[in-house]
Amino acid sequence: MSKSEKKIVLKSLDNEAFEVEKAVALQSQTIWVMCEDKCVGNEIPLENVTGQILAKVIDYCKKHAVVDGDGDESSEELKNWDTEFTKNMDQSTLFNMILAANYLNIKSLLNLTCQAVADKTKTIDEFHTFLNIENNFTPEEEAQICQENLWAFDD
Amino acid sequence: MKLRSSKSARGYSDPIPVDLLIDIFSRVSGKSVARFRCVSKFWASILRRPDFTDLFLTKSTTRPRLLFASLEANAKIFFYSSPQPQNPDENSCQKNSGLVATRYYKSFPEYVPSSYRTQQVCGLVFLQKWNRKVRVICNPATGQFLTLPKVLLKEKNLPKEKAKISNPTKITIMYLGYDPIGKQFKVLCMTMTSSCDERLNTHQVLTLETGKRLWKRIEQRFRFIGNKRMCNEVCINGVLYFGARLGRSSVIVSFDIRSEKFGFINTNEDLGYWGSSYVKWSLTLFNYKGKLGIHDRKPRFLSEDHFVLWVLEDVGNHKWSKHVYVLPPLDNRYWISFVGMTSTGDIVWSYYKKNYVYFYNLERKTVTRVSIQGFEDSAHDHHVLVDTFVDYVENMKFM
Repeated sequence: MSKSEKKIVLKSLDNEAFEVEKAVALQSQTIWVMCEDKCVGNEIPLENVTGQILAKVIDYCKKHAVVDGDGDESSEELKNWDTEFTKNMDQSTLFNMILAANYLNIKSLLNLTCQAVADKTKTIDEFHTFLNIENNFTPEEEAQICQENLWAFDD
Repeated sequence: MKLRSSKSARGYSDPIPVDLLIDIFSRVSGKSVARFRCVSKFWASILRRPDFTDLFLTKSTTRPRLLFASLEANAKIFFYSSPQPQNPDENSCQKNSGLVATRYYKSFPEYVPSSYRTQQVCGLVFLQKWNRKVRVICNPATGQFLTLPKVLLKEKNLPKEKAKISNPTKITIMYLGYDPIGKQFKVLCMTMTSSCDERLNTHQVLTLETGKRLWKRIEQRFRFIGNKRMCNEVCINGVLYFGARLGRSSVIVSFDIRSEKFGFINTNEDLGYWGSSYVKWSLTLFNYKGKLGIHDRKPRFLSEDHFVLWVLEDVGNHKWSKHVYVLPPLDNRYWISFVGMTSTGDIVWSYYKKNYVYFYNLERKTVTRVSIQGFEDSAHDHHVLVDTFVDYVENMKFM
């Protein structure tokens, strides 16, 4: 395999181009299928992902491409890296990461980001702001459903 | 659907698809699920749907948990749960340290699972008591409980003079089981009869489903005699196991929850009734990493500081393996009871007067004592830790 075949170019929605190792990009099932089908050249347009998010996804894939296959020692290190990776992401970045991981079909990244959102959503207020949902209960319905679930509010 | 997309709130215009949101909320705690059910009509219905509650059973990151049944001053049972430590002896800071158990909102009156240890099956606990006719299945996580309908024992087809003989069929014991494929809970009611008439001995089964719940007779009949050496039942991968007595030997009865068929497994002679010297309730059935295990507290020919684990290796050929262990140093052997094995393979005992739980690693032969804090009455010595369960999962499904 020549040097150029090992590399692949990913192009974001806002036309930012990223040249990455094929092994890094192929963690995405979506890209893997595209390459298998030979329906794309060396440049893959990703119409649902912005450059800012794609850069982060590539960071994740690079880290995981390097460490995968090594011993147990590194899996602990990888776990810590994952925690750090999502720790300081703001809400909108996390949501966009979920959508990107879903679109690109990267299972482990989807797991990681869904878990991060789950960990950050504990109160009803967080739920409201996260999902931007309005309360459409009538006062009676709300009283009843809260009565049923009263135990969940006692701390 | 009331999912509004709003650039201002999230800085993004595409809403997250509902299937991904379901995935996200299957990872939170049971308490959070209950809270989020109050968010909107849409979410109340989504988070009650069986596909969500089933996913929650397998995904919630608050699994696995320890569950405690505590009998408190007002003669009510309260349930508490705490995270279940994974590899407790690896982390030195957990050694001899505490875990905090939190109490579930609802109490359950009086149905103390005494004399018979009641198993937790997929998040539900079955409370029954010898001398009480009422049996209750409760869900600690949702606070819901269900009183089982009455079992009709009278034989309709018998001639009058036979039926007169003071109702010869009695309920011996009931067991709760779960079929993970059909996702159904069923209660098995084992009966016994004083008469020798084989026709009288009909066991019954009840499916816990919404709508009218009715007991149904099982076609397959056999004369069931309880086994006083075995103190409990266990449900593993859709099969319920419990002890029965056959002459002087012990057999294990298996009951396939899905097909409602009984099977019989012979045990080793060491587990039978030798002479009159058998010890009551000395054998406990448990889940040995997916296989049926029997813990023998008073093994034959061995001294008190040993315990034996029997593992059913081959169901078809009734083949058991025997593993002898020396009991690790525990605080007080008399008050310590065997709880079971965690899915990671640690043997668990509990010390019910002290709120201690012990984890014994079979390979490293190390024991870790974890003290459980958070019992409300414990300061006044009012509470009694009735039962401890390992690998508890919060089940958010409504019965």
